[in-house]
Amino acid sequence: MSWFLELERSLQAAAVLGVLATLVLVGAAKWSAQIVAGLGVAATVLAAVPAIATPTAATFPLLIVLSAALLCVLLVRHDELADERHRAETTALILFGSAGACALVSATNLLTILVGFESMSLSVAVLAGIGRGERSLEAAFRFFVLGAIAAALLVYGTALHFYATGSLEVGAPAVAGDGLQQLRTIGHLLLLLGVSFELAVVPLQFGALGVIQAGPIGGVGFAMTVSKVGAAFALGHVVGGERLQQDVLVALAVTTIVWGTLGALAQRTLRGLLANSAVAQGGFVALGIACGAGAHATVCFYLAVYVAASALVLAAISGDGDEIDLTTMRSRPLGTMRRLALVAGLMSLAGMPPTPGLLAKFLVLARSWETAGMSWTVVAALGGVFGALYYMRPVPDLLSGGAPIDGRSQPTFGVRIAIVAAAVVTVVCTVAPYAAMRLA
Amino acid sequence: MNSLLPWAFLCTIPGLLLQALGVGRAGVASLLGPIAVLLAGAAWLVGDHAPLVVSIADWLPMLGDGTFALRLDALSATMLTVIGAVASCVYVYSLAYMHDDPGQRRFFALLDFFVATMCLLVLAGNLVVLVAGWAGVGIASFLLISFWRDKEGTLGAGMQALAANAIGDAALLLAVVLLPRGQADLVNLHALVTPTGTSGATMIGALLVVAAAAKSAQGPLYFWLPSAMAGPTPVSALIHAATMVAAGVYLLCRTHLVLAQAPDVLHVVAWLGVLTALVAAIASLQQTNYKKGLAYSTLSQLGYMFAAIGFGAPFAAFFHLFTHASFKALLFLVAGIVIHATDGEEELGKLGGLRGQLGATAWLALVGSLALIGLPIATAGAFSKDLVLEAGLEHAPMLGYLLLGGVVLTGLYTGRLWFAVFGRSDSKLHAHAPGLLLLGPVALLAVGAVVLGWTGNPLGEVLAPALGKAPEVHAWSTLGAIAGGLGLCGFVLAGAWVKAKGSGAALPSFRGSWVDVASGVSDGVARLVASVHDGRVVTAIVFSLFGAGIVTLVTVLRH
Amino acid sequence: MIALAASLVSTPEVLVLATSALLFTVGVVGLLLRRSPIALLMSIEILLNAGNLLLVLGARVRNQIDGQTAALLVLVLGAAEAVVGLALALAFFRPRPDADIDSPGEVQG
Repeated sequence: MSWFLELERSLQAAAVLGVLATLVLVGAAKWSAQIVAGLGVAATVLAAVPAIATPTAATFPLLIVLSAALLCVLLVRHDELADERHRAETTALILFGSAGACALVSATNLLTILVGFESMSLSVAVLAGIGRGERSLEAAFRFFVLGAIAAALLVYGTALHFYATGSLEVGAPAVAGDGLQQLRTIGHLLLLLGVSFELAVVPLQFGALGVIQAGPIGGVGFAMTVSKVGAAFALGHVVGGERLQQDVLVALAVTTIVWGTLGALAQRTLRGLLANSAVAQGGFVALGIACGAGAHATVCFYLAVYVAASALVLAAISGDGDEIDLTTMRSRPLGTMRRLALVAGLMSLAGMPPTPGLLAKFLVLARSWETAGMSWTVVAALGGVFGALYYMRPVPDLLSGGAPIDGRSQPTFGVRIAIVAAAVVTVVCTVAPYAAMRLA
Repeated sequence: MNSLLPWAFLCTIPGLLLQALGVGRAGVASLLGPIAVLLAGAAWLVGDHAPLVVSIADWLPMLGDGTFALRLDALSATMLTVIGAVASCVYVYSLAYMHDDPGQRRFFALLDFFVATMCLLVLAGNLVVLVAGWAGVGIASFLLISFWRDKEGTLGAGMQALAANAIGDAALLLAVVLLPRGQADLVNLHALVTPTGTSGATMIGALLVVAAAAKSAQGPLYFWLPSAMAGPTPVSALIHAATMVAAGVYLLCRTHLVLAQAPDVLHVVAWLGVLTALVAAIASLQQTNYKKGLAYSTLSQLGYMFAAIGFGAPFAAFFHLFTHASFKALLFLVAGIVIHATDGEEELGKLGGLRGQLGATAWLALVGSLALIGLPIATAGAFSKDLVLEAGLEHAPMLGYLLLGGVVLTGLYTGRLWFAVFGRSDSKLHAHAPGLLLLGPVALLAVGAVVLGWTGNPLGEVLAPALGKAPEVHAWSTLGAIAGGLGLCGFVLAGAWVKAKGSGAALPSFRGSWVDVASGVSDGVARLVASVHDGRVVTAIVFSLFGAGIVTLVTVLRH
Repeated sequence: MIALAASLVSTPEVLVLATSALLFTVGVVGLLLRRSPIALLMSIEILLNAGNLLLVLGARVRNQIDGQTAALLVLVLGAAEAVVGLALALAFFRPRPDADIDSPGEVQG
């Protein structure tokens, strides 16, 4: 009965978020969505504060999850949702899902992982489908089906593990018996594949691809940031230090980097580019995770940089529909703030100086060279640098474009805050990465 | 005060911010930046020549060597001087050249960004910082090539540069990653490679060479430089002739002691340089576009520098880089004047006969051309090319003779371009005469193209700690005389050729390159990958389950 | 054949194990072959229950009550999934009477 007694900070944070989400839902009819979002911000920060005082391995991941959740809440826009009430629902779902992610960052108990995973994937499925019509429903249904399959793999993996070890702790050894060690390994591989779904690791990338291309911006933000962060650390616990699992994850990760890069090269719309590139980014995260506990700080740094860059890009494209053709970037009435945010975000995702994306990729590759060996690292490095080809394609247009801004293109207050916050994180990670990582 | 000099890469940042904020007349606020860079380099060179080091530990703690290290020594100070001098000329020139362009503030902001990253590159004290500068100049180059978005093909040209840069960045990243923890200090690289044995040196050396070849457009990675001419001409002069493309040579000079431990790699570099020098020279003769002709000539000269590195003569390479920066920037700025004067005409066939209308420009171009050929005593190019050829004949006579023969080609392509544009004075184009802002910088560079050769011996002394003992630089030698004579022969021959065939005289070109094939293949694969995401739930399920099964099984079976 | 199977299924433990594996296989095959969204949801339920069976077996064999708790929790999760899944399926397929997951979608991925 160990699993629900491990009341750590992350679980407390999860509980706070859960309660908050319930409040948001219950009060949705009466309160304006603005106040709801504001409450979400305040409570999330409050939940994060006690964690800083006595840092543990889960502190920095938890902070990343909470800040990512905060950014997603800020990005929610009512004007792209069909009904004002959807805004509150979206906010509540982001908080629910983030509660799951909080549980995941420190979970070593398989049931905690299962519950955290389910709350994230169900949240994404509903988030993607809310109030945005046919296309987003289609993506949501597909995400749901694939997520449910991943969850089923997770359940079966848990069952195999439990049968072989008699324990729900992920690190428990197999009891003595014929073939039980093998059953445990199979169980772990299933667990690995299941959790990989949330990180959009190839070949499980379909769900996230659809959601990022068709979902409302808040849901997209959640699928791109919070759920990836939560899944990454859960994956870390599942893989542990075991060689076979690490090797499988390295193979999956490098495949993912290459696949995502190639997929993104073929895209003609900004959303498509983002979706495919998010797959490649997930590959880098997975590669870092596969390098074991020694790469914990590296993964944290990578994720922090990635979340900030994603938030910049998403904030810049929020309210602009989902068919942003890459060739029309010049004539898009973006306004200076969003234009610069988009440039900075894309450059950071591409790993271009002066943004910290370069350092982050660099660190992951260094770890990968030590652990995964040369050939994988070479392929990953090539996949990483060729990413620049698609990320940078809109940048000259963005810098030279100058269509006058119209009313709808004015960033909302929340979006402005999100841009500033993400920009601050990005700058800190460039100038003083050490200070940023001392927390980790 | 001295301790601040290594921070010179920040000099252009205020200018960048002022341009972004729209302060003052466009570009004027940026002028101080490159001059400050020049002064910083010069201040070190006239000082006591003690290397200045900035080292901030724990900048990047998870890496073995996470120090933020800057180093200002002879090599970086000389590079700073070159960058500062050429950039100052180009900035002033651009005030006039970009005067009517609506995006001129953005232009200067991007130039500022470039100079900052270029200075960071040369001031880097360890590989980690070098990588940041290295990727930074790549991105600046891309943004400037794609500067004119209304002009067709600029984005594609930028993407080519980006692709080549990506290869170089990957190689450099891997080189840093490969080095054992805490051993990325640029100056002591060779000592730290040794424990890993010769194979370690060979591997790191090979990666460094790939990175350098990508930046300097050597061998098969040549393709992006001619395309890069789509950018504004001042950019071609600053980035794609004088400074950034020379960064590869700079890197190999900086790490020549690593390469010295890897004789195989040196051998490859020598061959790479010689082949590039010759093939690019011939390719230059095929171009009908003025700027592309110049671009191939840059490739050819960079080939000479690489060859010198391959001969184990880094000073010869660096000295050639030093002199080449002046006269190649000069030639590009002249091309800019011509293009500006004829309202954007770049085709040689239509440019003929401009000497009458652009008299002063023609004479300055002649000075640059003769320096490129290497007219002994009178021009700087002779001093440095002489050193390269000497090293070649000493270390690998066959390659040396090939390079010597290549000088004829240098004369040919240089002459072809000069005679095609300035050979006659009967043009029907209406070319407006350039103002002082355009001519002044060119004249300054012409002075450099004449006198810089005489700085060879003092420069050799200053650079001795960084590049080893430099050979004596001669104003006159038999070899130099032969080379100069061969070059002049080529020049005169080209004159006859242009006279016979007209301004459009060019060798027939061959079509198709490996780049077209590679980009076709990668496009195809990318579309194939994207077509898997066809939006069917069934595809997703089948692909996920089978894919996961296959990857897992393969890994488990390999285990 | 039957004799061989009978000899393999020597103890109740192995019998339950085999049943669970069989259920899992049925679920996977169902996912790969069936085209109706409801059949998909059913296949997923079968997968979950294969896991549940194994959890309960583990609880009994290893004498750990955790397994039964886990099985209960999985049931709850399954119910939650069914709610969301049916709602999404209904919303998405209502305008499409020939509910078929094989039809090409509009959204890549």
